[in-house]
Amino acid sequence: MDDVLQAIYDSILEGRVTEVAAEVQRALAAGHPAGVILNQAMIAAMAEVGRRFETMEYFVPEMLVAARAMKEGLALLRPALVGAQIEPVGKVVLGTVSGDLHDIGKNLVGMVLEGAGFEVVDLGVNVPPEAFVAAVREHRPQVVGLSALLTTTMLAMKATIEALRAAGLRDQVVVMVGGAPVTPAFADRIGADLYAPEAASAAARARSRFADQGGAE
Amino acid sequence: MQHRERALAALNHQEPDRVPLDLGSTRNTGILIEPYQALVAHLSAGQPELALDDYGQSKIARVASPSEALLRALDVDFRGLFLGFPDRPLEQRLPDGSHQDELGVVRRKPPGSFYYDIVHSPFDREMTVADLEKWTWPDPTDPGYVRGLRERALALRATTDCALVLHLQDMIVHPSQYLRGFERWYVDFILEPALMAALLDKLTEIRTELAVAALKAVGDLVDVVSSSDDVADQRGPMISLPMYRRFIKPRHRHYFDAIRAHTPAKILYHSCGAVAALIPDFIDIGVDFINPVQVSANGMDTARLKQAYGPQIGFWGSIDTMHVLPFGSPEDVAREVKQRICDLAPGGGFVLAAVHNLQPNVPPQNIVAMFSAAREFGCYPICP
Repeated sequence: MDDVLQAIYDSILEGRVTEVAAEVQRALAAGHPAGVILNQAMIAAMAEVGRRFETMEYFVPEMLVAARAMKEGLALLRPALVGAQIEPVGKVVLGTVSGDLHDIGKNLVGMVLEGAGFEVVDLGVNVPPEAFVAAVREHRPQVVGLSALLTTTMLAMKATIEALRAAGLRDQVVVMVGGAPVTPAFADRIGADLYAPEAASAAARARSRFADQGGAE
Repeated sequence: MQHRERALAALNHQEPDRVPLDLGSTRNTGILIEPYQALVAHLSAGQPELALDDYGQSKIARVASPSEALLRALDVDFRGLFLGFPDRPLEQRLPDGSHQDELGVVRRKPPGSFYYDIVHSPFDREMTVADLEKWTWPDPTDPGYVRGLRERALALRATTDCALVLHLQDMIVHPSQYLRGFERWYVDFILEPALMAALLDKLTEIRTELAVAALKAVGDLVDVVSSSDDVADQRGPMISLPMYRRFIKPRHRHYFDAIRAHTPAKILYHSCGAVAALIPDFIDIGVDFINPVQVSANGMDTARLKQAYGPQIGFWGSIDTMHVLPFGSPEDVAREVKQRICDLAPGGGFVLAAVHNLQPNVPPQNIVAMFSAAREFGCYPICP
C-alpha cells in the first residue's frame, strides 16, 4: 500500500483521531481517488479493527476510538465521494426496540456499519414498531437493524417484524437482529433474516448478504 | 445442621450437610416486585408482605425484600443487611416523574417496561479533573447510612439461625459509567486517562469511607460482605486486561483491603459477565467468593472453573436466568440445578442462587423448582 494510504490505515487502526483528517487531506492532495482512500485505507482498517475485536485483541474502547477516527476521516472525504458519485454499499435503518432505552450496542453496530460503507439512519432508543414502519417508508433502506438488551424487551422485535409485514414492507428489507439476550434460535423463531452476535460480525454479515443478493460490494 | 453452620462450612470450603441457598441477601441475588408477588400467591404463603426499599439501587432495580416467612418456606440460609438512607438525601423524584439518584444520574421507566433506564448522565460532556471537585458528591459520613445497622444485625442474629450478609453499594465501575455515559466511559481509557483515573479515585474514596463506617458498626457480626462492580460483558472483560490492571484492579484492591482491616467476614464480589480470564486477578486482590457465575456468558463453564480455581475461590449463584429460569420447564430447571451442583458443590465453596435477581418473566413454578431441586440434589455427598 502507498505510504499515504498506509498512514490513514494505521491511524484508524490505532485510533489517532486528530491525525486522520490531515492524512486524508494529504492523500486527496496527492491525487488518490476518494473511492480508493475509502476502500483501501479506511474500510480496510475498520475490517481489521473488527477482526481484532472478534479475536479479543481489541475491546470496546479501542473499537470506539477507531470508529471515531474513521468518522473524522469520512467527514473530510464525503465531498470528494459525492463528487466522484460513489454510492454507499447500502442503507440501514437502525434502532433499539420499544420499551428498551439501551444504546451502546446499537451505536457500536451503527459505527461499524458506517465503517463498512453503509449509510446508517439511527432512530435512537425505545422505537415503537410504527416508527420503524414509517422510517422504512421514508428512507427505503435495504436493511432494518433491531437491537434489544433485555429478555423482556426482545419480544418487541417480533412485534416490529409483524408491523413491517402488516404494512407490506417485510419483503423489501433484510431484518437483522442482535443484543445480549438474542440467540440464533430466537432470531429464527421471530422471522428475522440475519442474526449477529456482536458489532463486528453485524457489518460482515450484512455485507455478505448483499453480495449474495447481487447488491453493491 | 443449622443454617449458619451450614453456610460457614461452605464459605470455608468444607462440605456441609447440604449446599446453602441464597435469595435476597444481596441486591444481586434477589427477586423483583412482580415475580415476588406471583411467587407468594403461588405458594399461598399468605398476603404478599410487600416490604419495598424505596431508595437507591434497590428502588431503581425494583427489587422486593422477601418476607421472613417466604425465606423460611424456601429454606434460605442467608439473611441480608442493607445500608440505611442518608439524613440529607441527594436522591429525588423530578417533576417529570423521572428519578435522580444520589450521584445525579437520572433514570426513567418507559411505559410498559419493568426497568428504570438512564436518560441523563451528568458528566456526559467535556469536562476536566477540576470539575469533579466542584460536583456535589454524596457524603459517606452521613450518619443515616449506618444508623440502626447494628441493631438490625443483632435482631437477625437473635431471630434467625442464618448467616448474615452485609450488602454494600456498587463500587467504582458502574457509578463512573452512569455518571460519564457509557460511550465516553469507554473512550476515556484511551483519550482521557487522567480524568478517568481522577473520577475512579473520587468514587473509591467515597465508597471506601462508607464501607469502613458500616463495618465499624457490624464488622464483628457479619459473615459475608457483598460488593458489586461489573467488569465484564457477555463476551469477555469490558476492557483489556492491561487496562483493567491499570485502572480498576488497584482501586478494588484498596477497597477490599479496607474491608478486610475491619472484619473477618468473607468478601463476596459480584461482576456479571464473562469473568473467567479475570478470576486470577480477583483471587490476587482477596476476593473469597464470586457472584453471579453467569453461565450464559463466554467461557463460564462451571466444571472447568471449579477445576481451575476451586480451592482458591468460591462460587455464589450459577442458575441460569437468561434461558433456563425464564423459558425452561420446571424439569429443565431441576436439570440445570443438578448440573451446577455436580460441577460446583464438591468440596464446599458453593452457594446456590439464581444468576442475578429473578425477573418478571420467571414463572413461580420455576422458582419453586429451583429451590426444591437444590434441596434434593444439594445433599452431600454430591453426585455419588
